[in-house]
Amino acid sequence: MHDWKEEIRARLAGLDLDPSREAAIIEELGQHVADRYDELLQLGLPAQEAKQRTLAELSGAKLPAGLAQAEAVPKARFSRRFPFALRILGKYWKVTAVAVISLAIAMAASVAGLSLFNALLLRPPAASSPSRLVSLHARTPAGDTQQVSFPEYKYYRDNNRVFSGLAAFNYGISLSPFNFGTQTELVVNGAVSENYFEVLGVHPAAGRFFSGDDSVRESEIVLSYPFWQRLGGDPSIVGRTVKAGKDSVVIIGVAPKGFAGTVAGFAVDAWVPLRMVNNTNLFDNRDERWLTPIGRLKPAVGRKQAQADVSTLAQQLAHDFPASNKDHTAQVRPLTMLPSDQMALARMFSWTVMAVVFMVLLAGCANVVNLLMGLATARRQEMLIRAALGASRHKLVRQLLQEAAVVCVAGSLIGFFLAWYGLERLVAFRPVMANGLPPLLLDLRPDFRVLGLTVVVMLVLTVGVGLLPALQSSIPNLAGALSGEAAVGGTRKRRTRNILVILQTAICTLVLVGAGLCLRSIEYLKRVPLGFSARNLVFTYVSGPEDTTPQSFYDILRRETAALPGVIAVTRSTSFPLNQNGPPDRVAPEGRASTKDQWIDVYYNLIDDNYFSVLRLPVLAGRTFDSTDKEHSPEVVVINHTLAEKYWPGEDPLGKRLRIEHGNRLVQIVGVVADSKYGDLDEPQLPFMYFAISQHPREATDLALTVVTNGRPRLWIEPITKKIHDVSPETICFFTGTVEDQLNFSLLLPRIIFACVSGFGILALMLSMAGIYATTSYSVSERKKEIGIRLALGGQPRQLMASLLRQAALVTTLGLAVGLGLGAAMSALLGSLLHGIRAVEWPVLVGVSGLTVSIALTTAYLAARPWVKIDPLEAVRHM
Amino acid sequence: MKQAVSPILDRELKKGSAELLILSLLEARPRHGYEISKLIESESGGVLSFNVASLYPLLYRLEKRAWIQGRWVDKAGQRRRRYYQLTAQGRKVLRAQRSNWKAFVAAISRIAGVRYA
Repeated sequence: MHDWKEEIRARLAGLDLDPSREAAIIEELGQHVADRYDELLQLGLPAQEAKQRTLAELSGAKLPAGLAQAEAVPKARFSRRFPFALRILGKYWKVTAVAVISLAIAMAASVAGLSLFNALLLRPPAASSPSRLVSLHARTPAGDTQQVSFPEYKYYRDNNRVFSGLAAFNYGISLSPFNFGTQTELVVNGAVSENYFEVLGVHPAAGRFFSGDDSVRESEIVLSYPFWQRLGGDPSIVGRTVKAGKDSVVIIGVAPKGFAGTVAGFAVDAWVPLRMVNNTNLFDNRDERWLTPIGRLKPAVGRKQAQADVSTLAQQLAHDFPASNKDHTAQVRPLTMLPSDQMALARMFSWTVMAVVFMVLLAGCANVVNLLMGLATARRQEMLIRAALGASRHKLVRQLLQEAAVVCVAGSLIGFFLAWYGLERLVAFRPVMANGLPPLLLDLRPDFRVLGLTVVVMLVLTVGVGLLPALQSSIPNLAGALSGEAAVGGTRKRRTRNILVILQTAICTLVLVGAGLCLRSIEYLKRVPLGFSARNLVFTYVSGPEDTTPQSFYDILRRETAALPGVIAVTRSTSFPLNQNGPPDRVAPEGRASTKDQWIDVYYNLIDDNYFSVLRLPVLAGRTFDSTDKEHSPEVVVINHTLAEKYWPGEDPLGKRLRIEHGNRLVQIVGVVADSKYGDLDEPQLPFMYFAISQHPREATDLALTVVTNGRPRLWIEPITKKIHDVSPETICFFTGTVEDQLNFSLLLPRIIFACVSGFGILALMLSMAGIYATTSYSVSERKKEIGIRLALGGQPRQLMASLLRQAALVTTLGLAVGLGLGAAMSALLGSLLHGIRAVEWPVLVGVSGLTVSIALTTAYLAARPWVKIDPLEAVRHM
Repeated sequence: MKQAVSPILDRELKKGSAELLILSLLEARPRHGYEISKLIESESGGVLSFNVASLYPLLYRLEKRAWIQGRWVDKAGQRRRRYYQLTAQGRKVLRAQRSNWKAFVAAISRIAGVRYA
């Protein structure tokens, strides 16, 4: 007899009716069709023909369409299905909680990584229509990107046809003391063109911006919103005059809330117009490239058109000014918060973080997949019954996907808000690295870009995480169930779970190896020889008073400071050791200046005559500066060993001369000193020059004092700064600290990278341990019957535990092997990026292996312990 | 002889009268779906027919409106069947629909010049 119900069921499969209603309709229609078939048989039709005619009456879309309309199947299936998913997940709340937490951790890491990526590479300044803003950069014949000079900026500004406005700013910041009546503040300020705010399209929170009128001579300043708040937030501050050294400066306005300028990193307190920069050389000299122009594209002008226009102007400049602009080109780029020469580093850092984040996300997903598979195993009876009642595989998969979606959405939301809260706190923290250094400010708060990317990640997660368990679990082993077999799809699922744990362990190992390499690199950096004696040194920058020459002021300071108890020596320079500032000079040896490749950039320091003895920098040949080196005597220079070997390998450079491009001067080499570190600990050995302050008194206006003490230097910071204020009350001391502070600042970026990677490593470790715990638990629970029998037959719990731990150890070891292999490859790759890292860092690999194996075995032991202690009768009863 | 009605006319007429047909047939006593479809065919002389695809959606719609009520009946020696009967509201609707149908037919007859022999 034909099964008419199956025919009806097949035609109703796509309707997604409520199961009980569907069953009732199938029964009723099945009977009608059976009656119809019987009628046709009674009319004398052969059975086959009667069947065909009956089936023909069921064909077509009319039946399902009619029933769909009649049953008013709701468009949103979710309203019926999701409460069921929530009920199921609530019933297995422990597994659900672990899955949601795993995913929340992984998502929080992802959002943090995405926010960093966004802040460094994607987020434009808080300006109006930022997509219409571009920055303009000069490109040297060698292909390096540079800023432009002031004359170049003016030329582009006055002759372009593609920008409605072209402003300019300097990526560097200045620290200047401003007297606000009752308090003197060290103001972090940036110099910008008059039309800077106008081009950016922002409106003042109070007052106005610069007028854009070149004839205005008054000194003006615009405060940032946060700085204005720190000063009290009083709108009446607009129009007030404050003292900046000898000058009076008028506060003309306050920038809007949320506007932080166009430079990522330092929190700018105020903006001053370019005309307030007190250095005429910067405005006249075409070789002083210190500005970055920002242009707002005219309506209907695209970047390509702007590039073409700017290239034409650059060609004209190269033709008109070959001395400074020969073979120089110009490039237009979307405006970012980072200088162009930092973009490569920022990209490397960001993509590294994203790679680590991706691995943590993968580890989290592997965990959730494992847990959902375990959950589906626990519900195999329910799956069996539903399949037996006619639920198609498609329906079972859809139900499981909906449950996975609930877990993914919940985990993603929690993770997103965790990251948001954490990043908000971080931004509010305003870390100060060393005394007097301005706080770093990177806006890491997630914006709509990060939210959009998070939603995409969440959707991909839902499918990725839900599909495997859904597909595996939607084929319940009906035959196995009929024969009483309890392990439904056991071997295949166990293998899948083990593979997931191996993957998690490999990822965790890899990330931990990365963290270990970062830590190792920091250790190597700490051991880098500085080249000078770093014992008991205190540094401070001092801004001298306006009514005294620097040398007179310094003489007084040196005398007074040296008189302090415990101070052994005091010296002066324009840059601290390890804190080189100022641009390099272009130099070439005399007689070879016509050869282009003989010219190199060399950094320099203006120093006092006792500088080398105070810092115990060995003098290798010749002499240091002395009283014969005066302002109008022939200019002399002391070079370091690297510069001497560069131009005169194996020869004596004493008496030879260098041609300096700036000022086209010849200087005679009177001494050679040992190499040392000048800026960063991981810098390659740089060529370096020293000039005498006594020969350049007008250049050495800011004083960097180095004081040697006979005890812990930190104890002398306060007495020294107090003495300086006693000598000159309006003097400001900044960047005050010890050499440890300088070293810490040099190590800041490696430490930040280490903190990020190790943070992610810990997350990955937690996730993989959760995976091991879950896998071991489910494996053991599936073998409950076997364990019970073995215990009942006299098996020792210790032996059982050893067997379970051996299995866990095998899985962990495989994951570890894969992770270590990848880690060794990573060591080789990172060798060039992390200082001092060797091809194979055995201490890191051994340390990570030991940590992972011990934690994995401990976790497996804790997971298996409750099952091994089970009462054999209890286990056997459930057979 | 079964009178032939064009498929278009059959569809259009059925659309307007289907509910009236079902309600009318249930007025006398409860019936199941198959019985209803056979009655419609036989009482109309084969002019009207409702197969499973057109009958049951209609029955379910009427049931949702609470004009008819279905219940399962188990009879000895027979299959379990679902019988439908008119509700009180269904009877009211039937009266209204009958009255409307008579007025409609009369109006059409006057305009189209239909005369009864």
